[in-house]
Amino acid sequence: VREVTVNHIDGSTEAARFRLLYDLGCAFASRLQLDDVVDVVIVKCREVLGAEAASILLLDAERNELYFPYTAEVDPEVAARLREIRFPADRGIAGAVVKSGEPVCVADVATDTRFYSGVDRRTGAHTRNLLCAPLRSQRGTIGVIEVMNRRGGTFSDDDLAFLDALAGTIAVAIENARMYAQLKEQVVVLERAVREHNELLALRRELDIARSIQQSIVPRRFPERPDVEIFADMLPAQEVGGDFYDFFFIDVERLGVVIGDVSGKGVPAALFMAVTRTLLRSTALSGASPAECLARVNALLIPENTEQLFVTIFYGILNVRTGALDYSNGGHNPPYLLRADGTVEMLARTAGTVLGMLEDVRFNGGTAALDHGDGLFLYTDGITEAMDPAGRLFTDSRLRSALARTKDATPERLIQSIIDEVQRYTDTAAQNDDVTALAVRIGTPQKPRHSSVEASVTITLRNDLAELEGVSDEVEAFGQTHQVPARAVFDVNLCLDEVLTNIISYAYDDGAAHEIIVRLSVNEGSPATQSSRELRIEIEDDGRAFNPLAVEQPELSGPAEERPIGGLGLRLVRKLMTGLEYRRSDGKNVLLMHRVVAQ
Amino acid sequence: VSSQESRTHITENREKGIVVLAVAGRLDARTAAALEQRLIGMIDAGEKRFVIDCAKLDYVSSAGLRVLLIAVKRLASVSGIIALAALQEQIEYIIDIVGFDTIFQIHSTTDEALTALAVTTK
Repeated sequence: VREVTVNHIDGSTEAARFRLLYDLGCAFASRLQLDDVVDVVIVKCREVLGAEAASILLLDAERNELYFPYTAEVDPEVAARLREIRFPADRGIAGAVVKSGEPVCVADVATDTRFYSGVDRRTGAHTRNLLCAPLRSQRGTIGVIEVMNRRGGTFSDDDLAFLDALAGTIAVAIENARMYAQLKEQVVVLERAVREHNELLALRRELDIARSIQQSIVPRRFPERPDVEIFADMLPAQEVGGDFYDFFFIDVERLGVVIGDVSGKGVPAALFMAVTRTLLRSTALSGASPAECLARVNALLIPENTEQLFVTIFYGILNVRTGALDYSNGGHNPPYLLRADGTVEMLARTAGTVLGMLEDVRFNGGTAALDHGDGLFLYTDGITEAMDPAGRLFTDSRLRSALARTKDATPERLIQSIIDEVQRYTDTAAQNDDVTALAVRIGTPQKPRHSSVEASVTITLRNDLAELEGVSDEVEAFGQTHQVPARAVFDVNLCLDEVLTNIISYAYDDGAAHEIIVRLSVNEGSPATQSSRELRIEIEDDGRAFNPLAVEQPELSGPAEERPIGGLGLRLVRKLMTGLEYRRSDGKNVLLMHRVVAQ
Repeated sequence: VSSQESRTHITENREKGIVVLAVAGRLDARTAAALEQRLIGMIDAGEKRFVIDCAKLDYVSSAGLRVLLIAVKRLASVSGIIALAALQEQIEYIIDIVGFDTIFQIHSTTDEALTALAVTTK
């Protein structure tokens, strides 16, 4: 017991009693452990009252039992037995006091019918007389304090009054200690909950960010062309790895295909992947050879690489007309060449290694020849290193035989069946890496789409909204003829609708008929000028001068009440078109819209 | 006029006090007025909860977006609500571009929208 100041009590004098009460108050107010103070207090209480024993009985409200957490028995064996004892809360004098809340003085327990002899039987003690006072708290009686067997006589009413006063102080102390412990427990639980919640949120946010970077990078729309079919898919792992794929037409007949895998996971890997993909695409569209591209991207990545990540990349250029494949491999799993007859060949390895770590790496090029009906299968090690529940790898050989079984499958069916097979293999095991694959197949030979680089159509309409339907039909037909992706046709139609509706509704004050001219053309683009395939839409009207590009952009955030009703059409045009130019010449408004369509 | 009607078709239903307007076809400068009259008329008559079922809506231009914005503004002043449901991909894209995803409740199905609106207010 540390420094309990209730130990200089010497006798049963009035002064000693007050001293005990006073010291008790001080002790409870100090930061001593409740148990230590109570233990000393009941010993002193026994001494002051000249008794043989004193105990505190507390009520276990859940079980409706009384038990002895504190006792001042002289005999240690009796004390030990007492601590084991629990009895029903409605038994004995203690039970009666708990119920009534009034202190009692019993001069002879043998004549008191409330007396419960069970405790004496179990401890071997012999109770003759006793004092019992309730421990009253704000929440009711929480137990009693009992003092037994006055040495050489019986207890007085003064003794009872003293015990009652003492009981009041002890009850408050016990109740405070209980509430404090409960509060501390709640605070700990609450703190832990808040911490776990925050950690979870941070983790989830990080995962979401990484995943959305990855998902926004890889193209999800696949061109529909008779001369080549492309399909790709990616199953991101729970903790996003750094896989990506890409494809794009460098010109009318040369298709670039890319697959890569960044070391590491999470947001840093996703960002590195985004940078790599952008660098590679921009280098590739300049028309450089695959080996040259990888060397340039490697040089560009090194200064960006603060996280010491690296990336493996396979980049191939497939001429879909001739079937010639040029490629270079920067440390990636060699893709497979899928012959139309079902043969599976691994593309020959070429000199080169991972990108982003070492300067002056030499990348060599490789070539292969594909025939019509032949295909390519690019993949990441998430496939070959997928594990079954027993931890065994999927392996190259399993992939190879799976590929051999998919003879004649379209790229989409091929990818689906491989991914299905990997998932069946993984079964209940966790997918711990991204699973990514891209497949290409050369279709039937085709005449060049158009001998000229540019094809165009001119549509003339009157200033009447009813004319718009015809315009939309013409654009659809043009898109079909020139294999413009459906999305681009939709966007161009919407923007034409917006611009023409504006002109028809606001450009004329004279109520007369006017002609509006729409020229639609597709420019195939060329690597020499670093241009992509694009649609050009020129709209000419002789209405009042109006430059749509000079119109201020509407506020598009904030509550509905603050959104302007107008200006939405121009907003759409600005967002959906790649570029806009306006000029006023010869009394006419000419608006030129561009829309890049190459993937 | 006949061409107008063949291009847009509006069907009205009512479920648990919520008006469901299924808009099919094209919502552009020529057809938006029909929806505007219908919608604003109902709001003025005291209707407060709307679901626009866009499953068969193939096309929407700014003229159509304008009607939706007018409706949401009117409803805001009477604590009403309007949700868009079952948007086709290209329409959802347009909705996002103009930032309407932040002022409309958007649900993948009409049922989902109805459930959401049923619990919002009475």
